[in-house]
Amino acid sequence: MVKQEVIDKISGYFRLTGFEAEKIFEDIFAIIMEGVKEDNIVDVTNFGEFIIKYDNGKGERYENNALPPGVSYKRTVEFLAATEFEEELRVNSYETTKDIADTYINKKPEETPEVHSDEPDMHAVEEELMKKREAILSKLAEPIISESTAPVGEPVTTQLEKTQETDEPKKILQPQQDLKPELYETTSTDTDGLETKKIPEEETANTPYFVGEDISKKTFSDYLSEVGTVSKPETVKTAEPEYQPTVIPLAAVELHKEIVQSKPEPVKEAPVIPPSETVIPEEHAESKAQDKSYYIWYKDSEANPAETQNMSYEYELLYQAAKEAEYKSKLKIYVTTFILFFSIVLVLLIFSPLIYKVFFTPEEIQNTENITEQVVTDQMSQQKAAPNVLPPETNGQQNTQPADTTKKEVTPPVTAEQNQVQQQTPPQQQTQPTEQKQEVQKQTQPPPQTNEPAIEGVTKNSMGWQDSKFNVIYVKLDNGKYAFQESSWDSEAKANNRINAVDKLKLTGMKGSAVKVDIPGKGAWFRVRFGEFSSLQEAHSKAEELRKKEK
Amino acid sequence: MNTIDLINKVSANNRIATGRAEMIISIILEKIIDKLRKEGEVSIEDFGTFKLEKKEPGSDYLSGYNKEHGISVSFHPEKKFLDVINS
Repeated sequence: MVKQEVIDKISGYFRLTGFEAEKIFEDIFAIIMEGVKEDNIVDVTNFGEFIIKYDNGKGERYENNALPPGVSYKRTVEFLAATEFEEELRVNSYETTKDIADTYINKKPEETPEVHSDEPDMHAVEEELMKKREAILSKLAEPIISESTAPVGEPVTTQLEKTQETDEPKKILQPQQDLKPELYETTSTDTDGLETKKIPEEETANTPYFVGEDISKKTFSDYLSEVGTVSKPETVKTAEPEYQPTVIPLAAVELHKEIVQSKPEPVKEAPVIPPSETVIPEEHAESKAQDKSYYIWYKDSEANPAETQNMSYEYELLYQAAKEAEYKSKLKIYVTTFILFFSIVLVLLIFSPLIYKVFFTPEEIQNTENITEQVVTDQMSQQKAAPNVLPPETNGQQNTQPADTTKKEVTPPVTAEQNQVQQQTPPQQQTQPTEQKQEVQKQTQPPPQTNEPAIEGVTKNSMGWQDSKFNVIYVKLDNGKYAFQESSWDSEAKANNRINAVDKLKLTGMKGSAVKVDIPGKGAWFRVRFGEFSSLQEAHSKAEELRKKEK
Repeated sequence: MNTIDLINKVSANNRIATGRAEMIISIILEKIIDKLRKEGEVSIEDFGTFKLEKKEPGSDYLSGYNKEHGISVSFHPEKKFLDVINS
């Protein structure tokens, strides 16, 4: 089918799929049909024209301009082939070859057919063949065997006598004798020292190539031509009984083969036709190359990679869809692995302190942190309990001191009232403890120590005394001395760095230390404390000095 | 409609370059010619059949080159082609 062949060629040449090629093929003819319908004519260059005609059903066709009225017509299509199209068909059309063969067979040799300019000259071909035959004969050394001396069975070492008589070819070439292939093989060793036989030119010119009946008129080249066709099974059967391999050396055979291969091959029907008319025009390779029709230019050319590299639109879509399908199957795996990995990293980051505490810190350190916490809590609880005990034992002055501090802690108006109360007479002292109790009740935090002096900006808290002015916390140590906590760090190194920085300021009595504290929920922290001071006021003054130095 | 229009429509419908459409059309025509030359008949589905006819040279049915050599190409449209025209 033409369709399938065309589709295969298009898809292979332009690297399209079969589906695309088939679609284009069908689309071309659909467009032609539509063009015929709309324009009544479609002219394809160097091919022909499709023309609409009107058929009245009786075999009569008219064009649109010549429709007689009152008669119904149906539209049909006619095709008018272009001259170039017909020229292409004329050469080697299946019917014309038969006609040409018939004309050659039936006609006499004198009657030659019309020779067109594109066809090769047959006479020139014959002359070339004659020349080649003469060249073969001049090169060969043909041994001549006489009747008495050279029977068939002997090898070809004897030289033949030269004769110019016409009868000798009969004696030399005895087709009636049976061939012995063994002899033919033995002759392959003897190739040198053989004289050639010169056949007169008259015989060679007039003798035909293939005349099975007149064997006597056969020339040396005739048998060589037969030898050249030994490879073909048909000619082998006919040629073997006609020549003696002992006469013809193998070198001659090989040389003839080379020459036969170089000359143009005759048509298969040639053996039947006389020699002057053996040459039948072959397929015109030259004429094909000289075709000037525009649509045949690509025949001998190869596919241009620049054009075929660009895929058609549909093929690109198909290609992209195929690639997407491949990636989709892998995309899920990639996404799930990424999410898992990312989630693991997040969990590790969030719970890294816990993990570090559980897995990386030794147990002794954990225990000491717990102990320090307990100590801190115990101190705080003692501080809470102390103000309840002290007021009944202390003097009135001592009572006033915490009262003063409490007054200052709670609110300014309260303190003013308390001051007024203090300035009053002793009968008014009874109200002070009640006021103190009220203040204690009002306090959310535990009451401060009674023996400490009052300092501006210092308030009591769980750890000690908080100085909001200098951002420090005054802490009372176990030995009864005071220190102030300047900052708190999450690592010991940072705490030590802070201590070193303060040491560089060269303040007297500012001995720095980092105290590790484990805070539940926050982990281990390192508190930077300075000095051991005898009193809170000294610590306050040192803190003030430190802040001033830092500024 | 001529060859250029045919090429433009083919390239527009199939989204291919006009040069490529031209080459495809030429391939199809060449195949038809080869088939006609070898077999004398080419049939295309839903379109029609081309037949190579030999007539006597010089007959009145032929003209020009055909008249001299007696070769003609006949076209027989298929039903679908006729339906499209008559619709």
